[in-house]
Amino acid sequence: MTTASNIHADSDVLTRTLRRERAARKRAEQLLEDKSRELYQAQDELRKQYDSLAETQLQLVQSEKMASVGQLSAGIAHEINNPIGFVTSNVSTLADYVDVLSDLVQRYDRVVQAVAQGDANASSQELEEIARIREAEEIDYLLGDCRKLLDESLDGLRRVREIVQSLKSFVRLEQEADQDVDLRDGIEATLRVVWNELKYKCTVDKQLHAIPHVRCHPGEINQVFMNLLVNAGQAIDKQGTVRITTSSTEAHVVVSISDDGCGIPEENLSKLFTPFFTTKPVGSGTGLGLSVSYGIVEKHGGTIEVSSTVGEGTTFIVKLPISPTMSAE
Amino acid sequence: MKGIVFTCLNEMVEDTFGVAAWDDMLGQAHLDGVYTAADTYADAEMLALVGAMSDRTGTAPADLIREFGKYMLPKMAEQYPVFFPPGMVARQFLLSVHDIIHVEVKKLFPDAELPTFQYEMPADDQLVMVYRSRRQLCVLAEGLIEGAAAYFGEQLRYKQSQCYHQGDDHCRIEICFMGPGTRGDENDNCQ
Ligand code: HEM
Ligand SMILES: Nc1ncnc2c1ncn2[C@@H]1O[C@H](COP(=O)(O)OP(=O)(O)OP(=O)(O)O)[C@@H](O)[C@H]1O
Ligand SMILES: [Mg+2]
Repeated sequence: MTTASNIHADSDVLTRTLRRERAARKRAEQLLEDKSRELYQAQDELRKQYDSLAETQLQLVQSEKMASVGQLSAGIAHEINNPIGFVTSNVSTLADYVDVLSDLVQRYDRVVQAVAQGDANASSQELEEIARIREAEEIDYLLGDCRKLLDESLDGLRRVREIVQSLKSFVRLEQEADQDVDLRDGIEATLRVVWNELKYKCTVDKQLHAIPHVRCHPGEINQVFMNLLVNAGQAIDKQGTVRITTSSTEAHVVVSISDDGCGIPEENLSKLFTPFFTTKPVGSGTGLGLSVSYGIVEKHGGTIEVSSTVGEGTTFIVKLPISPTMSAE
Repeated sequence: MKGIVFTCLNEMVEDTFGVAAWDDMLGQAHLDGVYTAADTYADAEMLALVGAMSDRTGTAPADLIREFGKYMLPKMAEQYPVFFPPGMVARQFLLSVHDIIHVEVKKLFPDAELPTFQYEMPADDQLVMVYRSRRQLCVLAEGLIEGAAAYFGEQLRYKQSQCYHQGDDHCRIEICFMGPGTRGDENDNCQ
Protein backbone atom coordinates (compact mmCIF):
# COMPACT_ATOMS: atom_id res chain seq x y z
CA MET A 1 0.00 0.00 0.00
CA THR A 2 1.31 3.43 -0.92
CA THR A 3 0.65 6.19 1.56
CA ALA A 4 0.96 9.89 0.92
CA SER A 5 3.98 10.21 3.21
CA ASN A 6 5.70 7.33 1.40
CA ILE A 7 5.31 9.08 -1.93
CA HIS A 8 6.60 12.26 -0.35
CA ALA A 9 9.64 10.41 1.07
CA ASP A 10 10.29 8.83 -2.35
CA SER A 11 10.41 12.18 -4.07
CA ASP A 12 12.83 13.46 -1.40
CA VAL A 13 15.04 10.45 -2.03
CA LEU A 14 14.89 11.07 -5.76
CA THR A 15 15.77 14.72 -5.33
CA ARG A 16 18.77 13.84 -3.16
CA THR A 17 19.82 11.13 -5.61
CA LEU A 18 19.55 13.56 -8.49
CA ARG A 19 21.64 16.14 -6.64
CA ARG A 20 24.33 13.53 -5.89
CA GLU A 21 24.37 12.43 -9.51
CA ARG A 22 24.72 16.00 -10.69
CA ALA A 23 27.51 16.71 -8.20
CA ALA A 24 29.26 13.50 -9.26
CA ARG A 25 28.98 14.47 -12.92
CA LYS A 26 30.43 17.94 -12.21
CA ARG A 27 33.27 16.37 -10.33
CA ALA A 28 33.90 13.98 -13.25
CA GLU A 29 33.91 16.87 -15.70
CA GLN A 30 36.34 18.74 -13.52
CA LEU A 31 38.64 15.71 -13.34
CA LEU A 32 38.47 15.49 -17.12
CA GLU A 33 39.41 19.14 -17.48
CA ASP A 34 42.28 18.69 -15.02
CA LYS A 35 43.51 15.70 -17.01
CA SER A 36 43.27 17.60 -20.30
CA ARG A 37 45.23 20.46 -18.84
CA GLU A 38 47.85 18.08 -17.43
CA LEU A 39 48.08 16.38 -20.80
CA TYR A 40 48.57 19.69 -22.55
CA GLN A 41 51.27 20.71 -20.10
CA ALA A 42 52.96 17.33 -20.38
CA GLN A 43 52.97 17.63 -24.14
CA ASP A 44 54.32 21.14 -23.92
CA GLU A 45 57.03 19.95 -21.55
CA LEU A 46 57.88 17.07 -23.89
CA ARG A 47 58.25 19.42 -26.83
CA LYS A 48 60.61 21.65 -24.82
CA GLN A 49 62.64 18.61 -23.75
CA TYR A 50 62.77 17.46 -27.34
CA ASP A 51 64.00 20.84 -28.54
CA SER A 52 66.67 20.99 -25.89
CA LEU A 53 67.75 17.43 -26.72
CA ALA A 54 68.08 18.37 -30.37
CA GLU A 55 70.16 21.37 -29.30
CA THR A 56 72.35 19.19 -27.06
CA GLN A 57 72.88 16.75 -29.87
CA LEU A 58 74.04 19.55 -32.11
CA GLN A 59 76.54 20.64 -29.48
CA LEU A 60 77.73 17.07 -29.04
CA VAL A 61 78.41 16.71 -32.73
CA GLN A 62 80.32 19.96 -32.59
CA SER A 63 82.36 18.90 -29.59
CA GLU A 64 83.11 15.55 -31.16
CA LYS A 65 84.57 17.44 -34.09
CA MET A 66 86.67 19.51 -31.70
CA ALA A 67 87.81 16.40 -29.84
CA SER A 68 88.95 14.69 -33.03
CA VAL A 69 90.72 17.86 -34.09
CA GLY A 70 92.49 17.86 -30.71
CA GLN A 71 93.42 14.21 -30.98
CA LEU A 72 94.76 14.75 -34.46
CA SER A 73 96.67 17.95 -33.86
CA ALA A 74 99.03 16.02 -31.57
CA GLY A 75 99.73 13.54 -34.38
CA ILE A 76 100.04 16.27 -36.96
CA ALA A 77 102.39 18.31 -34.81
CA HIS A 78 104.63 15.25 -34.74
CA GLU A 79 104.42 14.79 -38.50
CA ILE A 80 105.41 18.41 -39.07
CA ASN A 81 108.02 18.62 -36.30
CA ASN A 82 110.07 15.80 -37.73
CA PRO A 83 110.88 17.41 -41.11
CA ILE A 84 111.19 20.83 -39.49
CA GLY A 85 113.77 19.29 -37.15
CA PHE A 86 116.04 17.91 -39.80
CA VAL A 87 115.61 20.89 -42.12
CA THR A 88 116.74 23.14 -39.26
CA SER A 89 119.79 20.99 -38.57
CA ASN A 90 120.64 20.81 -42.27
CA VAL A 91 120.42 24.56 -42.61
CA SER A 92 122.74 25.13 -39.64
CA THR A 93 125.27 22.65 -41.15
CA LEU A 94 124.96 24.48 -44.45
CA ALA A 95 125.72 27.75 -42.61
CA ASP A 96 129.00 26.23 -41.32
CA TYR A 97 129.79 25.02 -44.84
CA VAL A 98 129.19 28.51 -46.22
CA ASP A 99 131.79 29.89 -43.71
CA VAL A 100 134.40 27.38 -44.94
CA LEU A 101 133.57 28.02 -48.58
CA SER A 102 133.65 31.81 -48.31
CA ASP A 103 137.04 31.55 -46.57
CA LEU A 104 138.27 29.53 -49.59
CA VAL A 105 136.80 32.05 -52.04
CA GLN A 106 138.78 34.85 -50.25
CA ARG A 107 141.96 32.82 -50.57
CA TYR A 108 141.35 32.27 -54.30
CA ASP A 109 140.84 36.02 -54.63
CA ARG A 110 144.23 36.56 -53.05
CA VAL A 111 145.82 34.09 -55.53
CA VAL A 112 144.24 36.00 -58.40
CA GLN A 113 145.66 39.31 -56.98
CA ALA A 114 149.18 37.83 -56.48
CA VAL A 115 149.20 36.47 -60.03
CA ALA A 116 148.08 39.87 -61.33
CA GLN A 117 150.95 41.55 -59.40
CA GLY A 118 153.37 38.91 -60.71
CA ASP A 119 154.16 37.75 -57.17
CA ALA A 120 154.78 34.05 -57.96
CA ASN A 121 156.03 33.33 -54.46
CA ALA A 122 152.91 34.63 -52.73
CA SER A 123 150.57 32.89 -55.15
CA SER A 124 152.20 29.49 -54.79
CA GLN A 125 152.23 29.89 -50.99
CA GLU A 126 148.53 30.71 -50.99
CA LEU A 127 147.82 27.77 -53.33
CA GLU A 128 149.62 25.41 -50.97
CA GLU A 129 147.52 26.75 -48.08
CA ILE A 130 144.37 26.26 -50.17
CA ALA A 131 145.33 22.68 -50.96
CA ARG A 132 145.95 22.06 -47.24
CA ILE A 133 142.55 23.48 -46.32
CA ARG A 134 140.80 21.55 -49.07
CA GLU A 135 142.38 18.45 -47.65
CA ALA A 136 141.63 19.25 -43.99
CA GLU A 137 138.06 20.40 -44.53
CA GLU A 138 137.26 17.59 -46.99
CA ILE A 139 135.93 20.17 -49.42
CA ASP A 140 134.99 17.59 -52.06
CA TYR A 141 132.90 15.74 -49.52
CA LEU A 142 131.48 19.02 -48.23
CA LEU A 143 130.34 20.05 -51.71
CA GLY A 144 128.64 16.69 -52.21
CA ASP A 145 127.06 16.98 -48.78
CA CYS A 146 125.70 20.43 -49.58
CA ARG A 147 123.71 18.97 -52.46
CA LYS A 148 122.46 16.15 -50.24
CA LEU A 149 121.46 18.48 -47.40
CA LEU A 150 119.67 20.79 -49.81
CA ASP A 151 117.78 17.93 -51.49
CA GLU A 152 116.83 16.51 -48.13
CA SER A 153 115.66 19.90 -46.86
CA LEU A 154 113.61 20.55 -49.97
CA ASP A 155 112.06 17.15 -49.48
CA GLY A 156 111.24 17.92 -45.85
CA LEU A 157 109.66 21.24 -46.76
CA ARG A 158 107.64 19.52 -49.48
CA ARG A 159 106.37 17.08 -46.84
CA VAL A 160 105.30 19.90 -44.56
CA ARG A 161 103.47 21.51 -47.44
CA GLU A 162 101.75 18.21 -48.25
CA ILE A 163 100.58 17.74 -44.67
CA VAL A 164 99.18 21.24 -44.58
CA GLN A 165 97.44 20.64 -47.90
CA SER A 166 96.00 17.31 -46.71
CA LEU A 167 94.68 18.99 -43.63
CA LYS A 168 93.09 21.65 -45.77
CA SER A 169 91.48 19.15 -48.11
CA PHE A 170 90.50 17.04 -45.08
CA VAL A 171 88.58 19.81 -43.43
CA ARG A 172 87.65 21.67 -46.62
CA LEU A 173 86.77 24.71 -44.63
CA GLU A 174 86.54 26.80 -47.75
CA GLN A 175 83.71 24.78 -49.33
CA GLU A 176 80.60 24.31 -47.27
CA ALA A 177 78.35 23.16 -50.11
CA ASP A 178 77.94 19.60 -51.33
CA GLN A 179 79.98 18.64 -54.34
CA ASP A 180 80.69 15.64 -56.52
CA VAL A 181 83.88 13.98 -55.37
CA ASP A 182 85.92 10.85 -55.87
CA LEU A 183 85.90 9.31 -52.40
CA ARG A 184 89.38 7.88 -53.03
CA ASP A 185 90.81 11.41 -52.75
CA GLY A 186 89.11 11.83 -49.40
CA ILE A 187 90.44 8.46 -48.25
CA GLU A 188 93.99 9.38 -49.27
CA ALA A 189 93.82 12.78 -47.57
CA THR A 190 92.39 11.20 -44.42
CA LEU A 191 95.07 8.51 -44.41
CA ARG A 192 97.77 11.18 -44.44
CA VAL A 193 96.09 12.90 -41.52
CA VAL A 194 95.75 9.75 -39.37
CA TRP A 195 99.03 8.27 -40.55
CA ASN A 196 100.72 8.94 -37.26
CA GLU A 197 98.07 6.90 -35.41
CA LEU A 198 98.45 3.94 -37.72
CA LYS A 199 102.04 3.73 -38.90
CA TYR A 200 103.58 1.93 -35.92
CA LYS A 201 101.07 -0.92 -35.70
CA CYS A 202 99.37 -1.25 -39.03
CA THR A 203 100.06 -2.27 -42.54
CA VAL A 204 97.57 -0.36 -44.64
CA ASP A 205 96.32 -2.37 -47.60
CA LYS A 206 94.61 -0.09 -50.10
CA GLN A 207 92.37 -1.67 -52.72
CA LEU A 208 91.05 1.57 -54.16
CA HIS A 209 89.21 0.56 -57.32
CA ALA A 210 87.81 3.27 -59.58
CA ILE A 211 84.38 4.42 -58.38
CA PRO A 212 81.75 6.89 -59.59
CA HIS A 213 81.57 10.28 -57.90
CA VAL A 214 79.47 10.82 -54.83
CA ARG A 215 77.68 14.04 -53.96
CA CYS A 216 78.63 14.92 -50.43
CA HIS A 217 80.11 17.34 -47.99
CA PRO A 218 83.73 16.17 -48.27
CA GLY A 219 84.78 17.43 -44.84
CA GLU A 220 82.05 15.47 -43.14
CA ILE A 221 82.56 12.28 -45.12
CA ASN A 222 86.28 12.44 -44.37
CA GLN A 223 85.40 12.70 -40.71
CA VAL A 224 83.57 9.37 -41.07
CA PHE A 225 86.63 7.74 -42.67
CA MET A 226 88.80 9.20 -39.98
CA ASN A 227 86.64 7.76 -37.19
CA LEU A 228 86.60 4.33 -38.82
CA LEU A 229 90.36 4.34 -39.46
CA VAL A 230 91.21 5.51 -35.95
CA ASN A 231 88.90 2.85 -34.47
CA ALA A 232 90.50 0.19 -36.67
CA GLY A 233 93.96 1.26 -35.52
CA GLN A 234 92.88 1.25 -31.88
CA ALA A 235 91.40 -2.25 -32.26
CA ILE A 236 94.82 -3.60 -33.22
CA ASP A 237 96.95 -4.41 -30.22
CA LYS A 238 100.46 -5.07 -31.57
CA GLN A 239 100.67 -5.58 -35.31
CA GLY A 240 97.93 -5.92 -37.88
CA THR A 241 96.44 -4.94 -41.19
CA VAL A 242 93.85 -2.33 -42.04
CA ARG A 243 92.30 -2.93 -45.44
CA ILE A 244 90.45 -0.18 -47.28
CA THR A 245 88.44 -1.24 -50.32
CA THR A 246 86.32 0.81 -52.69
CA SER A 247 83.78 -0.65 -55.10
CA SER A 248 80.40 0.23 -56.51
CA THR A 249 77.00 -1.25 -57.16
CA GLU A 250 74.19 -0.05 -59.43
CA ALA A 251 73.28 2.85 -57.17
CA HIS A 252 75.96 3.05 -54.49
CA VAL A 253 79.62 3.56 -53.86
CA VAL A 254 80.84 1.11 -51.24
CA VAL A 255 83.78 1.79 -48.95
CA SER A 256 84.80 -1.00 -46.65
CA ILE A 257 87.30 -0.59 -43.83
CA SER A 258 88.37 -3.81 -42.13
CA ASP A 259 90.88 -4.65 -39.47
CA ASP A 260 92.16 -7.88 -37.98
CA GLY A 261 91.98 -6.44 -34.47
CA CYS A 262 90.18 -7.51 -31.30
CA GLY A 263 86.65 -7.67 -32.79
CA ILE A 264 83.37 -6.68 -31.12
CA PRO A 265 81.33 -8.99 -28.87
CA GLU A 266 77.85 -9.80 -30.16
CA GLU A 267 76.11 -8.00 -27.29
CA ASN A 268 77.87 -4.71 -28.12
CA LEU A 269 77.01 -4.65 -31.81
CA SER A 270 73.60 -3.10 -31.30
CA LYS A 271 75.03 -0.35 -29.05
CA LEU A 272 77.93 0.79 -31.24
CA PHE A 273 76.13 3.72 -32.81
CA THR A 274 74.65 4.95 -29.53
CA PRO A 275 76.17 8.23 -28.31
CA PHE A 276 78.69 7.72 -25.49
CA PHE A 277 78.98 3.98 -25.97
CA THR A 278 82.66 3.25 -25.52
CA THR A 279 84.78 0.39 -24.19
CA LYS A 280 87.86 2.57 -24.09
CA PRO A 281 89.29 3.78 -20.78
CA VAL A 282 87.98 7.01 -19.28
CA GLY A 283 89.62 9.99 -20.92
CA SER A 284 90.59 8.13 -24.06
CA GLY A 285 87.30 7.60 -25.91
CA THR A 286 84.16 9.70 -25.71
CA GLY A 287 82.10 7.11 -27.55
CA LEU A 288 80.85 9.68 -30.03
CA GLY A 289 82.83 8.69 -33.12
CA LEU A 290 80.44 6.12 -34.50
CA SER A 291 77.23 7.90 -33.50
CA VAL A 292 78.39 11.04 -35.24
CA SER A 293 79.52 9.02 -38.27
CA TYR A 294 76.14 7.33 -38.40
CA GLY A 295 74.41 10.69 -38.41
CA ILE A 296 76.62 12.02 -41.21
CA VAL A 297 76.14 8.95 -43.41
CA GLU A 298 72.40 8.94 -42.81
CA LYS A 299 72.22 12.62 -43.72
CA HIS A 300 73.87 11.76 -47.05
CA GLY A 301 71.23 9.12 -47.76
CA GLY A 302 73.66 6.28 -47.13
CA THR A 303 74.07 3.41 -44.71
CA ILE A 304 76.79 2.20 -42.41
CA GLU A 305 76.96 -1.46 -41.39
CA VAL A 306 79.23 -3.52 -39.23
CA SER A 307 80.14 -7.17 -38.99
CA SER A 308 82.63 -8.53 -36.52
CA THR A 309 84.03 -11.68 -34.97
CA VAL A 310 85.78 -11.51 -31.64
CA GLY A 311 89.46 -12.34 -32.06
CA GLU A 312 89.32 -12.12 -35.85
CA GLY A 313 88.44 -8.55 -36.68
CA THR A 314 85.84 -6.08 -37.79
CA THR A 315 84.52 -4.68 -41.05
CA PHE A 316 82.61 -1.45 -41.42
CA ILE A 317 80.85 -0.90 -44.73
CA VAL A 318 79.76 2.59 -45.76
CA LYS A 319 77.41 2.89 -48.74
CA LEU A 320 76.69 6.27 -50.29
CA PRO A 321 74.43 7.00 -53.25
CA ILE A 322 76.17 7.66 -56.56
CA SER A 323 75.89 11.32 -57.58
CA PRO A 324 72.76 11.95 -59.69
CA THR A 325 74.86 13.58 -62.40
CA MET A 326 76.94 10.39 -62.67
CA SER A 327 74.01 8.00 -62.92
CA ALA A 328 72.29 10.26 -65.45
CA GLU A 329 75.20 9.77 -67.85
CA MET B 1 40.03 3.47 -2.66
CA LYS B 2 39.09 4.27 -6.24
CA GLY B 3 35.67 5.78 -6.95
CA ILE B 4 34.90 2.98 -9.41
CA VAL B 5 34.56 0.60 -6.45
CA PHE B 6 32.03 2.98 -4.86
CA THR B 7 30.01 3.55 -8.03
CA CYS B 8 29.87 -0.21 -8.45
CA LEU B 9 28.67 -0.71 -4.86
CA ASN B 10 26.10 2.03 -5.42
CA GLU B 11 24.81 0.17 -8.47
CA MET B 12 24.66 -3.12 -6.63
CA VAL B 13 22.66 -1.69 -3.72
CA GLU B 14 20.26 0.18 -6.01
CA ASP B 15 19.78 -2.90 -8.22
CA THR B 16 19.02 -5.24 -5.34
CA PHE B 17 17.38 -3.00 -2.71
CA GLY B 18 16.32 0.12 -4.58
CA VAL B 19 17.29 3.77 -4.68
CA ALA B 20 15.91 4.45 -1.22
CA ALA B 21 18.15 1.81 0.40
CA TRP B 22 21.33 3.47 -0.91
CA ASP B 23 20.07 6.89 0.14
CA ASP B 24 19.30 5.50 3.56
CA MET B 25 22.74 3.88 3.94
CA LEU B 26 24.46 7.13 3.03
CA GLY B 27 22.44 8.93 5.67
CA GLN B 28 23.29 6.30 8.26
CA ALA B 29 26.99 6.44 7.44
CA HIS B 30 26.92 10.30 7.37
CA LEU B 31 28.35 10.45 3.85
CA ASP B 32 27.45 12.88 1.06
CA GLY B 33 27.77 10.01 -1.45
CA VAL B 34 29.09 11.96 -4.41
CA TYR B 35 31.25 9.31 -6.15
CA THR B 36 33.05 9.52 -9.45
CA ALA B 37 34.95 6.57 -10.89
CA ALA B 38 38.24 8.39 -11.50
CA ASP B 39 38.42 10.07 -8.09
CA THR B 40 39.83 8.56 -4.90
CA TYR B 41 38.04 8.27 -1.53
CA ALA B 42 39.04 7.19 1.95
CA ASP B 43 39.00 3.45 2.66
CA ALA B 44 37.00 4.33 5.80
CA GLU B 45 34.05 5.45 3.63
CA MET B 46 33.87 1.99 2.09
CA LEU B 47 34.01 0.37 5.55
CA ALA B 48 31.24 2.69 6.81
CA LEU B 49 29.03 1.80 3.84
CA VAL B 50 29.60 -1.93 4.27
CA GLY B 51 28.86 -1.49 7.99
CA ALA B 52 25.59 0.30 7.25
CA MET B 53 24.66 -2.39 4.77
CA SER B 54 25.41 -5.09 7.29
CA ASP B 55 23.19 -3.37 9.87
CA ARG B 56 20.38 -3.21 7.35
CA THR B 57 20.57 -6.77 6.08
CA GLY B 58 21.92 -8.64 9.07
CA THR B 59 24.56 -10.17 6.82
CA ALA B 60 28.20 -10.25 8.03
CA PRO B 61 30.46 -7.62 6.36
CA ALA B 62 32.79 -10.33 4.95
CA ASP B 63 29.88 -12.07 3.20
CA LEU B 64 28.66 -8.73 1.83
CA ILE B 65 32.08 -7.95 0.39
CA ARG B 66 32.24 -11.41 -1.20
CA GLU B 67 28.80 -10.86 -2.75
CA PHE B 68 29.98 -7.48 -3.92
CA GLY B 69 32.96 -9.08 -5.70
CA LYS B 70 30.62 -11.52 -7.42
CA TYR B 71 28.40 -8.68 -8.54
CA MET B 72 31.31 -6.53 -9.65
CA LEU B 73 32.96 -8.99 -12.03
CA PRO B 74 30.36 -9.00 -14.84
CA LYS B 75 30.23 -5.20 -14.50
CA MET B 76 33.97 -5.09 -15.12
CA ALA B 77 33.51 -7.37 -18.13
CA GLU B 78 30.96 -4.91 -19.47
CA GLN B 79 33.21 -1.92 -18.96
CA TYR B 80 36.55 -3.49 -19.93
CA PRO B 81 35.75 -6.17 -22.56
CA VAL B 82 39.42 -6.24 -23.72
CA PHE B 83 40.29 -8.25 -20.62
CA PHE B 84 37.74 -10.90 -21.57
CA PRO B 85 38.66 -11.99 -25.11
CA PRO B 86 36.60 -14.72 -26.77
CA GLY B 87 37.78 -18.23 -25.98
CA MET B 88 39.29 -17.28 -22.63
CA VAL B 89 38.71 -19.56 -19.64
CA ALA B 90 38.51 -18.61 -15.97
CA ARG B 91 42.00 -19.89 -15.15
CA GLN B 92 43.61 -17.78 -17.91
CA PHE B 93 41.60 -14.79 -16.79
CA LEU B 94 42.73 -15.09 -13.17
CA LEU B 95 46.32 -15.54 -14.33
CA SER B 96 46.08 -12.23 -16.21
CA VAL B 97 44.97 -10.16 -13.21
CA HIS B 98 48.39 -9.34 -11.81
CA ASP B 99 50.53 -8.93 -14.93
CA ILE B 100 47.97 -7.49 -17.32
CA ILE B 101 44.73 -6.21 -15.80
CA HIS B 102 46.02 -4.48 -12.70
CA VAL B 103 48.98 -3.14 -14.73
CA GLU B 104 46.54 -1.49 -17.12
CA VAL B 105 44.41 -0.30 -14.20
CA LYS B 106 47.49 1.43 -12.80
CA LYS B 107 47.95 3.31 -16.08
CA LEU B 108 44.34 4.45 -16.00
CA PHE B 109 44.40 5.34 -12.30
CA PRO B 110 48.00 6.09 -11.32
CA ASP B 111 47.01 6.53 -7.67
CA ALA B 112 45.31 3.11 -7.41
CA GLU B 113 46.63 0.96 -4.60
CA LEU B 114 46.46 -2.52 -6.01
CA PRO B 115 47.10 -5.86 -4.32
CA THR B 116 49.84 -8.20 -5.54
CA PHE B 117 49.19 -11.76 -6.66
CA GLN B 118 51.77 -14.49 -7.05
CA TYR B 119 50.77 -17.59 -8.89
CA GLU B 120 51.52 -21.27 -8.50
CA MET B 121 50.30 -23.90 -10.91
CA PRO B 122 50.53 -27.28 -9.21
CA ALA B 123 48.42 -28.98 -11.93
CA ASP B 124 46.58 -28.14 -15.14
CA ASP B 125 43.27 -27.77 -13.34
CA GLN B 126 44.64 -25.95 -10.32
CA LEU B 127 45.84 -22.47 -9.50
CA VAL B 128 47.15 -20.95 -6.32
CA MET B 129 46.85 -17.18 -5.91
CA VAL B 130 49.02 -15.76 -3.17
CA TYR B 131 47.41 -12.45 -2.19
CA ARG B 132 49.16 -9.60 -0.46
CA SER B 133 47.68 -6.22 0.38
CA ARG B 134 47.65 -3.75 3.20
CA ARG B 135 43.87 -3.77 2.90
CA GLN B 136 43.54 -7.50 3.62
CA LEU B 137 40.53 -7.79 1.33
CA CYS B 138 40.91 -11.49 0.46
CA VAL B 139 37.13 -11.96 0.63
CA LEU B 140 36.78 -9.47 -2.23
CA ALA B 141 39.18 -11.64 -4.23
CA GLU B 142 37.07 -14.67 -3.34
CA GLY B 143 33.95 -12.93 -4.63
CA LEU B 144 35.73 -11.88 -7.85
CA ILE B 145 36.91 -15.47 -8.34
CA GLU B 146 33.34 -16.76 -7.88
CA GLY B 147 32.14 -14.03 -10.25
CA ALA B 148 34.72 -15.14 -12.83
CA ALA B 149 33.50 -18.75 -12.62
CA ALA B 150 29.93 -17.58 -13.21
CA TYR B 151 30.97 -15.29 -16.03
CA PHE B 152 32.90 -18.01 -17.89
CA GLY B 153 30.22 -20.64 -17.16
CA GLU B 154 32.58 -22.85 -15.17
CA GLN B 155 32.56 -24.73 -11.90
CA LEU B 156 35.35 -24.17 -9.43
CA ARG B 157 36.17 -24.60 -5.81
CA TYR B 158 38.61 -22.68 -3.68
CA LYS B 159 39.86 -22.61 -0.14
CA GLN B 160 42.30 -20.43 1.76
CA SER B 161 45.05 -22.48 3.40
CA GLN B 162 46.64 -19.32 4.78
CA CYS B 163 44.98 -15.99 5.54
CA TYR B 164 45.72 -12.58 7.06
CA HIS B 165 42.71 -13.13 9.26
CA GLN B 166 44.27 -16.34 10.63
CA GLY B 167 47.46 -14.52 11.60
CA ASP B 168 49.44 -15.31 8.43
CA ASP B 169 51.35 -12.60 6.57
CA HIS B 170 49.57 -13.32 3.28
CA CYS B 171 46.55 -15.17 1.95
CA ARG B 172 46.89 -18.35 -0.08
CA ILE B 173 43.83 -19.03 -2.23
CA GLU B 174 43.95 -22.53 -3.69
CA ILE B 175 41.59 -22.91 -6.64
CA CYS B 176 40.50 -26.06 -8.40
CA PHE B 177 38.77 -25.84 -11.80
CA MET B 178 36.18 -28.43 -12.66
CA GLY B 179 35.39 -27.40 -16.19
CA PRO B 180 32.15 -26.22 -17.75
CA GLY B 181 28.94 -27.91 -16.63
CA THR B 182 30.52 -30.77 -14.65
CA ARG B 183 29.12 -31.23 -11.18
CA GLY B 184 31.88 -30.49 -8.73
CA ASP B 185 31.40 -33.58 -6.58
CA GLU B 186 31.76 -36.20 -9.36
CA ASN B 187 35.33 -36.14 -10.76
CA ASP B 188 36.68 -34.10 -7.91
CA ASN B 189 40.39 -34.50 -7.32
CA CYS B 190 40.68 -31.42 -5.14
CA GLN B 191 41.39 -32.00 -1.51
C1 HEM C 1 38.71 -6.49 -15.42
C2 HEM C 1 39.04 -6.93 -14.23
C3 HEM C 1 39.54 -6.09 -13.08
C4 HEM C 1 39.69 -4.74 -12.97
C5 HEM C 1 39.39 -3.66 -14.04
C6 HEM C 1 40.18 -4.46 -11.65
C7 HEM C 1 40.40 -3.17 -11.14
C8 HEM C 1 40.61 -2.89 -9.82
C9 HEM C 1 40.57 -1.57 -9.23
C10 HEM C 1 40.30 -0.27 -9.98
C11 HEM C 1 40.80 -1.70 -7.91
C12 HEM C 1 40.84 -0.56 -6.89
C13 HEM C 1 42.21 -0.13 -6.49
C14 HEM C 1 42.16 1.05 -5.52
O1 HEM C 1 41.10 1.37 -5.02
O2 HEM C 1 43.21 1.68 -5.29
C15 HEM C 1 40.99 -3.11 -7.67
C16 HEM C 1 41.23 -3.62 -6.43
C17 HEM C 1 41.31 -4.98 -6.20
N1 HEM C 1 41.35 -5.98 -7.13
FE1 HEM C 1 41.02 -5.83 -9.09
N2 HEM C 1 40.39 -5.62 -10.99
C18 HEM C 1 39.99 -6.65 -11.83
C19 HEM C 1 39.97 -7.99 -11.55
C20 HEM C 1 40.33 -8.53 -10.34
C21 HEM C 1 40.29 -9.93 -10.03
C22 HEM C 1 39.79 -11.04 -10.96
C23 HEM C 1 40.75 -10.06 -8.74
C24 HEM C 1 40.96 -11.28 -7.89
C25 HEM C 1 40.92 -12.47 -8.24
C26 HEM C 1 41.05 -8.73 -8.26
C27 HEM C 1 41.45 -8.44 -6.98
C28 HEM C 1 41.41 -7.18 -6.44
C29 HEM C 1 41.42 -6.92 -5.02
C30 HEM C 1 41.45 -7.98 -3.92
C31 HEM C 1 41.34 -5.53 -4.86
C32 HEM C 1 41.22 -4.73 -3.55
C33 HEM C 1 42.41 -3.87 -3.21
C34 HEM C 1 43.38 -4.57 -2.31
O3 HEM C 1 43.23 -5.78 -2.01
O4 HEM C 1 44.36 -3.90 -1.90
N3 HEM C 1 40.80 -7.82 -9.26
N4 HEM C 1 40.91 -3.80 -8.85
N1 LIG D 1 87.09 -1.54 -35.52
C1 LIG D 1 86.68 -1.81 -34.27
N2 LIG D 1 87.07 -2.93 -33.63
C2 LIG D 1 86.67 -3.21 -32.37
N3 LIG D 1 85.84 -2.42 -31.65
C3 LIG D 1 85.38 -1.30 -32.24
C4 LIG D 1 85.77 -0.93 -33.56
N4 LIG D 1 85.15 0.24 -33.86
C5 LIG D 1 84.42 0.57 -32.79
N5 LIG D 1 84.56 -0.33 -31.81
C6 LIG D 1 83.89 -0.33 -30.49
O1 LIG D 1 82.85 0.61 -30.52
C7 LIG D 1 83.01 1.56 -29.47
C8 LIG D 1 82.44 2.89 -29.92
O2 LIG D 1 83.25 3.47 -30.95
P1 LIG D 1 83.21 5.03 -31.14
O3 LIG D 1 84.12 5.38 -32.25
O4 LIG D 1 81.79 5.48 -31.25
O5 LIG D 1 83.74 5.59 -29.77
P2 LIG D 1 85.22 5.48 -29.17
O6 LIG D 1 86.18 5.07 -30.25
O7 LIG D 1 85.16 4.60 -27.95
O8 LIG D 1 85.50 6.95 -28.71
P3 LIG D 1 85.75 8.23 -29.67
O9 LIG D 1 84.64 9.16 -29.31
O10 LIG D 1 87.08 8.72 -29.29
O11 LIG D 1 85.66 7.77 -31.09
C9 LIG D 1 84.47 1.53 -29.15
O12 LIG D 1 84.72 1.93 -27.81
C10 LIG D 1 84.82 0.07 -29.37
O13 LIG D 1 84.46 -0.71 -28.25
MG1 LIG E 1 86.22 6.10 -32.15
